[in-house]
Amino acid sequence: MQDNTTHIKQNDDPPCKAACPILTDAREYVQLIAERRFEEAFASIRKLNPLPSVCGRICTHPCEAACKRGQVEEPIAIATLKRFACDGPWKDQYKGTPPAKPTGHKVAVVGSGPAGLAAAHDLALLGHDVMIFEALPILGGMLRVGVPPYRLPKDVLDEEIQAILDLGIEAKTGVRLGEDIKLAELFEQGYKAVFLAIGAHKDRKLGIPGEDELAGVVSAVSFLRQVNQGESPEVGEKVAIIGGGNTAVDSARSARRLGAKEVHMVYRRTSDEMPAAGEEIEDASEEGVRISYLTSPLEILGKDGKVSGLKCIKNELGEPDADGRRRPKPVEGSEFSIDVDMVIAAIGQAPESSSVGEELEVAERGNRIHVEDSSLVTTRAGVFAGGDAVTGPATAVKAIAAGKRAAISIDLYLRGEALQEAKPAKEIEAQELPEGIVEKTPVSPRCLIQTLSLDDRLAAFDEVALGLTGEQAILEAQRCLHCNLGATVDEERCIGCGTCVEACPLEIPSMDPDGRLDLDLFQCQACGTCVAECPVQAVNARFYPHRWVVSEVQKIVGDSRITDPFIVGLFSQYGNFNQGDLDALGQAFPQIVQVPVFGLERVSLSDMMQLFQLGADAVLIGKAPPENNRFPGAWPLVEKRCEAVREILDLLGYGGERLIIYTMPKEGLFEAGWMDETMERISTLGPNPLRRQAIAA
Amino acid sequence: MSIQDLIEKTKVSFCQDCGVCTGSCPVSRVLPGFSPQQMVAKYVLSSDLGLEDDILEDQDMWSCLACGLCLQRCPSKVDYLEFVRALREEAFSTGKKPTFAHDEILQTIVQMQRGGVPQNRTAWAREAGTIREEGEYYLFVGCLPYFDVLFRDMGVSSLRSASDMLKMLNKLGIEPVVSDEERCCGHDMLWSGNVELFKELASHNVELIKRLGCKKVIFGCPEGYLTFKSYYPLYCGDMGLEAVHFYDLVHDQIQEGAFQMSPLEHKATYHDPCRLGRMAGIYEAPREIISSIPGMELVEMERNRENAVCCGISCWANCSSYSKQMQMDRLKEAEATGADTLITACPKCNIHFSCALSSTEMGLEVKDLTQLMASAMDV
Repeated sequence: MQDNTTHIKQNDDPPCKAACPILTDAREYVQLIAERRFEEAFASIRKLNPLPSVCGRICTHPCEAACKRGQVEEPIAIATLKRFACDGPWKDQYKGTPPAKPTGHKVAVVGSGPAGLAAAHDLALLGHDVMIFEALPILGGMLRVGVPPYRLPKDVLDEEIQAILDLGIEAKTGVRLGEDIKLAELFEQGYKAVFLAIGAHKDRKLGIPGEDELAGVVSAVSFLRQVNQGESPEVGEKVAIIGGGNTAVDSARSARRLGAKEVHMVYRRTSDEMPAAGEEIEDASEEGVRISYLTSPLEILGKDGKVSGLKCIKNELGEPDADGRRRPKPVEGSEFSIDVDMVIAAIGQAPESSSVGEELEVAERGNRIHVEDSSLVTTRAGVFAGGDAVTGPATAVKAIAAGKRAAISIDLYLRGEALQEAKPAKEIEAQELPEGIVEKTPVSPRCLIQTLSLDDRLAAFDEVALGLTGEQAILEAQRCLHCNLGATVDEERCIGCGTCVEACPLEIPSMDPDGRLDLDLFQCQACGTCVAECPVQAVNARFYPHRWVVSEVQKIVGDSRITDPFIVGLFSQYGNFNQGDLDALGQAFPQIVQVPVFGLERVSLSDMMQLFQLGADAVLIGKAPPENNRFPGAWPLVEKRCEAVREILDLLGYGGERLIIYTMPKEGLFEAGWMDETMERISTLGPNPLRRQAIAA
Repeated sequence: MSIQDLIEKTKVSFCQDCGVCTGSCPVSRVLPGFSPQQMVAKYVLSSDLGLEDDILEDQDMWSCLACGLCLQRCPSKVDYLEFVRALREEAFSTGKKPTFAHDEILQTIVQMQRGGVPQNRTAWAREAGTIREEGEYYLFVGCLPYFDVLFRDMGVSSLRSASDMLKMLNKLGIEPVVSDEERCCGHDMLWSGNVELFKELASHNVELIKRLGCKKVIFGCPEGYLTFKSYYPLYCGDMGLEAVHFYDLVHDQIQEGAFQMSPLEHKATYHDPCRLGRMAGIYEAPREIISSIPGMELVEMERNRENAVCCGISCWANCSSYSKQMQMDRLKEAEATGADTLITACPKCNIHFSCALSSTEMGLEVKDLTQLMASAMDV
C-alpha cells in the first residue's frame, strides 16, 4: 500500500519527529490512528522502521519527552499507539519489495540485533545480497537475549525478524567473528562489505572482593541470556542486583518471576540519576523490588563458598563528573550489610571487540569499535560498524538508526561513490506554550495502560502491558495538538481586518498597530476556525487545508457514487463512534455520503453552501458531545455559520431545513431511531432544485 | 475571439506608451509592478509571439479594478476596460479565476439562484410598504437580501436600503413590482469572465420584468443600473425597458418639494462609485440630494467626480492588503476634509469602507445615501 496521506504534507518537523533517531513521523501516524486509518498508520511506521512492534514495546520514546501535549498535562502515549498500529491484523498489508534487478553485491552483517537487522533490511531493499552472521544459536541480539519476554514477547520478535528475512536475507547462527571466521576471510569469500553490529554483550566486573570466588554471583548479561533462552536459572531466596540501568531492572524483575522472595536493587546515586526508564522502575516496585539508592557495594560476603550477604556503604553526591552526573562519595562509617544469597552484577556492558581487535582499531575506553565519522566506516575499507559495538550500551532505536545509516554508507561504497556524513540532527528549539494557551486547552487525560494482575505477572513471563482497543487508541491519538500543521498567513493577502483575532478560540493571533498579523505556529492547534472565517483566504492551515470538505464530496460526486436522495453527513471525528458505526450507517443508509471531519470549526459557511451547490438534498452536521469539544471557544461561530446557511437557503427558496445540525450521543453516531425520522423529514423536502434540474435534463 | 482580434477591437494597438494610465491607476500606486501601460505592451508582444497561454496565465488582468480612470484619461482612447473584460472572458474559458473574497460565497449564491425555484427574497417588501404583482415600475433589489445576511456583523444593514427605497417610492405614489424570481444582475459574472452565465441571467431578468408588464426598472445599486443600462443591450438587444436610477428619480421629486425633510447635523463628504460616476455619468444628483437635507454640509474630497478613486475591489476578486491600502488612502482623504460622515451610494463601497474602517480608530462614519435620505425624510 502506498502512502496516501494526502492531506498531511511534509512540513517543518514536529518535535516528536525531530526527537526520534530514525525520524519516525509520529505526528503522521498518530493522526492516521485518530482518523481510524490503522492500516495506513502501520505503513507510515513500517516504511522507516523494520522493527516497529519491538519499538512499540521497548522504545525509550524520546518523542514523548518532546511532545507538546506534555506541556498541557501528559504527552501522547506515542509508543503505545505505535504498538497498537503494529499489533492489528492489518499489519501484513505493508511489504517492502527489493528491486527486481539485484546489484549482485554480497554484504555480510555481523550480529543480528536491532542494528544488524535494520542494516540487513535496508540493504536488501537496496538490492544487495545480504548474509547475517550471528554468534548465538538464535537471531535477535540483545532484543532476544537481553530483553525479557514480559516486555517483548518472543513471538512478536520472531514475526518481525521473519518479515525481514522474507526479503531474501540469509542468516547463519552459531558463527562467532574472530573465532569461527575472521574479517579477512569474509572478503575472501566474496563479501564486498561488512557491517559489524556485534553489540555490547560483555559484562563489566564489579571489582570487589568475593566476586570471583563465591557461588551465587552472576553477571546480568549471562543471567538474562539464560532467562531469555527459555532456561530457568536457579535464583536465590534473596537477591541483590547491583546497578541502576534497564539491565538491572530486567534482572530484578526476572528474578522475582523465577521465585526470588526478596529482590534488592543497589544503586549508587539517587533516583534522579537512575538511567532505567521510569515506567520500568515503577513496574518493578509494584512487583516488590526494593531499591536502595545512594548505596555502593563494598564486598560480597560468603559462607561455605556461597554468597551469604552484601556489604554496602551509603553515598552522598559530590561534584559532577565528566558526563555531568554528580559523583557519589562514600559516607564514612555508614557501612551496613544485607542478607542475600545471590548477587547479580548489572553495572554495564562493553562490546566483545577482542574478536576484531587485530583487524581493526578499537577505542581503548570501553572496547568500542572505532568509526571514522558518522558514515560509520571503520579504519578498514569496506568495513562499517554501528550500534552498541560503537557507542556502548544504548537504546534499540539508536541501534536501528545506526543500522539504517550503515546501509546508506555501504550502498554508496558498493556503488563506488563518496561516503557522506549523516546530516546533523535538526536542533529544534524547545518552545514553551504560554500559560494562556495551556489554560484554554481542555485537559484530556492520557490513556491508562492496562496491565496483567500482579499474580499473573509474577507467575510467568507473560507480557505485562496490555495493548489498547481501537476506541482507546483513537481517543488517545485525538489528543495530538498537530504541531506545525496550523495556520499560516499570506501577508500580501491579509487585509488586517482582525477577523481571525476575534475568531481564534485560543486567542493566538494578534495585530500590531500597523495591521500586521502575528500568528505563532507553535501555539496553533490547527482547529481551522480562522481559515473558515478569513474573508480573503489569507489564512490557510497545513492540516486539512481550505476547501477540504468540498473536494472530498466532489470526488464522490465525480465518481457518481451518489444515490437518491443525496445526503452529506459531516460527522465530527471527536464523536464517540467507531468504524463499525460508520459501516453500519453505510449499510442502513447508503445514500448518506460520510465525511468524518476533524472538527467542524474548519467547515466554512461557503463550504456548506457549496455542498448544496453540488446538489446535496440535505447536509447533516453531527457535533461531538459537548464534553469532547476540543475548541469550545469556536462553537458559537460554527452555530452562527449554520444559522447563516439556513437563512441563505431560505432566501434562495431551497429551505433552511435542509441543513440539519445535531449533537451526537455519548456513544455512536446518533440515537436509535433518530436517523429514520430524519430521513423521513428529508424525503418530504424533495430533491435539491439544482439536482432536480440535472435529473430532468 | 482571439487575443489578436481583441487587441484590434479595443484599440490597444493605438497605445502611445505615454504612461498616463499607469500614472492614474490606483492599483499601480500600491501593487508593485502593476501597470496598465506595461500590461498592454506585454500582452501585445506575447500575442505577436503567439504566447497566448502566457497571457491567460497572467494574474495582472485580475488585479485591475475596471474603475475606468485610465480609460477616461487615455489620449488614444484605448478601451482598456473592454480589453481587460474580454481577456478575462478568454481566461475564464480556460478555467482561470481570481481568488474571490468571502470564500466565494457570493458566486455560490448566484449559481444556486439557477435552481429554478422562486426565491424568498421579497418578504421584507410586504412589511416595509406596498408592492404590486404587475405594473409600470419594477424595483430591482439585486443582492441586498443576501448582503444583509453576510455583512450584518459589519454593521452594514443592506436590506434597510431596500426598504427605505421602497418607502420613499411609495411616498411618491409609486408601487413597484418586486419579484421572487429576480436573479443576480450578472455584473460580477460579466467582469469575472463568465459571460455565458451573464447572458443567462440577463435574459432571465429581462423576460421576467417584461412578463410582469413593467416598463421602467428602478435601481438603487450603481452596478445593477450600469449593467442593465449599458451591458444588457449588448447581449439582449433592444429590451424595450428603461433603466432608472433611484437617485435621478428622487432628485427630481425633491426639487419639486415632494418630501418634508428634518435637519441632520453632519459635515459629510461623498464618494463617487465608479459605476455611478465615471461609467454612468451621475455625479450631481447624489450631491444635490445631500445638500438638500437641512443641516448637512457637503465637503469634497480632493479626488472627486471623474477623478474619484475606487473603493479598492471589484466583483469580489483578489481582495488583499493592496485593496486595504487603497481603502485606507480613501478614508484618510475623507477624514482630511474634516467630515464626520463618508456617504456612499453603492452597497459594495459601503461594505468595503465599513470593513476597512472597523480596524481603525478614525472618527468617521460610513453611511449609505439612501438610508441617510430616509432618516431625514422620516419615512
